[in-house]
Amino acid sequence: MSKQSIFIIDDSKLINNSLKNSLEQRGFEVTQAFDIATAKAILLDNSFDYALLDLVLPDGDGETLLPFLQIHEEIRVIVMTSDRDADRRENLFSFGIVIDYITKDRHFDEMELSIVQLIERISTNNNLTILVVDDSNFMRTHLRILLSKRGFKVLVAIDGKEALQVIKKHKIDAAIVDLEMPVMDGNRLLSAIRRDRANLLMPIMVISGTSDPSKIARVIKNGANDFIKKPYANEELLLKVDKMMEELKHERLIKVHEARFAMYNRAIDEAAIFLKLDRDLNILYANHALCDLLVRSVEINEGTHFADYVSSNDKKHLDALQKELQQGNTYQRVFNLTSENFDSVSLRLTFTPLKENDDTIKEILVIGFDVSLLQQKESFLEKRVSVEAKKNWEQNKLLIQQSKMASMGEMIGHIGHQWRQPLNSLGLMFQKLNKAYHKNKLNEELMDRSTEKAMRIISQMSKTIDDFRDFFKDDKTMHFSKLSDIVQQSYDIIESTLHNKNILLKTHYADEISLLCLKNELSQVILNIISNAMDALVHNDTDNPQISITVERKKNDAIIIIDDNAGGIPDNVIDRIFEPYFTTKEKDNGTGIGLYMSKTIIEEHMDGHLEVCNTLSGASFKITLPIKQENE
Amino acid sequence: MMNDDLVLLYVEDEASIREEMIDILELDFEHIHVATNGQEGLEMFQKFHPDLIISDIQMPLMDGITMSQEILSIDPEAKIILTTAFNEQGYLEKAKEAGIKGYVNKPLNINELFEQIEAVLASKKE
Repeated sequence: MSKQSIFIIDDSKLINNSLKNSLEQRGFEVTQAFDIATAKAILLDNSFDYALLDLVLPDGDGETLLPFLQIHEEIRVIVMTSDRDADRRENLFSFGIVIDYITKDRHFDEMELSIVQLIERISTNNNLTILVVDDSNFMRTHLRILLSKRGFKVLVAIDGKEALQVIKKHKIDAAIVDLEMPVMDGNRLLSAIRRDRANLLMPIMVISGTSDPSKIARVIKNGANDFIKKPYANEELLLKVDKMMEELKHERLIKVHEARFAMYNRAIDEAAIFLKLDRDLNILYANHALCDLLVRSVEINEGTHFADYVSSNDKKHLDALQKELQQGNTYQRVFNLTSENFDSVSLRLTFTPLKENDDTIKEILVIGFDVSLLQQKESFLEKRVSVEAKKNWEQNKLLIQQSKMASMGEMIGHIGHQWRQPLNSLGLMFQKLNKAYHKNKLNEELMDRSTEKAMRIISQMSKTIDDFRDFFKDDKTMHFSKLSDIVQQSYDIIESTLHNKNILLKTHYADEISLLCLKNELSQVILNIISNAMDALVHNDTDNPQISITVERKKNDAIIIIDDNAGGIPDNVIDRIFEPYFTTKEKDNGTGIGLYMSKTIIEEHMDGHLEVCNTLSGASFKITLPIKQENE
Repeated sequence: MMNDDLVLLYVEDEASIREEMIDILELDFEHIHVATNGQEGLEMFQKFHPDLIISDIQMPLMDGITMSQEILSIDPEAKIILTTAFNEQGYLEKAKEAGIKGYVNKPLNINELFEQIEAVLASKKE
């Protein structure tokens, strides 16, 4: 719909501008004039839907503008005046374009509101048809113009008979009927109209010159909604018509709402579980959805108490429910309903109290949904999630296992290095004893000393075996361990290999830290990083190769830093080293799992962080672990 | 074996092996000097002028090859036997070039070692 245009003619700048602002805000297109001369000039070239005309203007009477406004037949003029002279008002109506008066002595806001309401009313009048029945041609024409300007569609009939024909043919919303007519007068027409049930509620106004109270009473009895006595002021007629038509609109709106309400009701009734309770939670109504859901053999009886159906576990919520409802609040929770006659169902119920004017609860509407299936689904999903999580864990476990297997080869190398010297010693010892025996120099002292030493060496060798076996033990539980012991465990395993490659490994424990952790997994991570550093040092043939491990505490974190001086990790690689199956080592030397597993172990199994950066001399790996105590 | 007059220098960083070897060598030799790395070995060579040097290769501070080269630059006739582990075979070429007379593999076989000792000592008499 295009914007409606309004022409404001008022010499008061305050009123003119305020009206302009407020009407523009409501979506009108506004043109202003402050005197007659300007208004005339504007009217020569422009037409408007509405004009707001002030009668008292600096250069004359506003009335002199009416002929100019009249040029534009479609225009509707609203006269703003404080003039209470009734004759003058009537006179202005005769121009055929004035539709109403707004008295200016009212409060300004009120005036503005009346204007807007009037315009709105007129724009909603255009789908209403009024039938004017009068035998006087003059009256028919006059009323047609007056009512058309008011926005109504107007049909005319010259007597009751014609009127009935028009009513049959057209959709008539209301009628204005002259009482005294030839052929069929107003009274007979009224009776005829009301006889048709469809027209029972049609608003009808009767016009008559009579002042006989009994005649007037008869008219009303016959079904007239209102009566107006000739002669009448146009303004009075319009007010009465407006009132009658507003009531009609109102009634129709109520019908629309009622229909809509019935549809809502039906929609809820069909789509959801629907209960009505009284204020004491007695059941007033239960819809078939609920009955279908609950009942095998017995209906939910109206008059039984809601609590009768609530499972014993949920009865404790009833007090809270009633308290909330008393305060006028809506209440929502899942109730498990059960009884001897049906299986338990879980319903998410929303209780809405409906209050009367005196603030007492009239009814409680309960709308609900069956969440039993949803709950089953949820628990199914939970199970699925836990199965997936378990799968994931299993997969990770497998990867850990794989990486352990991969490092098994290295481990055998480490064991080899650790055992070479003691095996050498034992070999020498036996040859020594043999030689001494043959030289007759095998005495008690040599025998005892050698045996004692042999036992010491052998126990060291079995400790090596234990260390390695411990290291490979699959232990998923957190143990309270000293970090220095864990670092030492890794150190013990690789020490001989490092020694053999002339790599110096330094450890520095700035703080003594004990924490809950996966001991072997952490040890594996440390070993993995040391082992990578060792490979880099050998590969790069670094001078004075060394690896240093620092353990320190920062607030609630344990920090393990493992540095080497092998020159660092190339920039194009450093971001990718934690990716699975990423390796820079030659085939057979690297699986690409080690650092990926290390990151998984630290970050997912132990809530820590594993980061890497390059220092001036080499790579630096930083393990950050939250210090968890045993009671946490 | 007539080894009473011979002066022996034994160089080994690994204590456990060193102890055994001393026990064994003492069964046949009277004058044994012991060093725990190449650096110490070189100092002892200059001090005691041993007739025979038995040395490990991989050692801290100074390895056996470097020590041998130093000794041979002082006394080209010095008699040196190196004990080599399997993973040190690469050093052997270097050792021969440097003029080292003999070597035995680790783990040490005493009979082999003594055969080497005899062979190296015999070469002195030529």
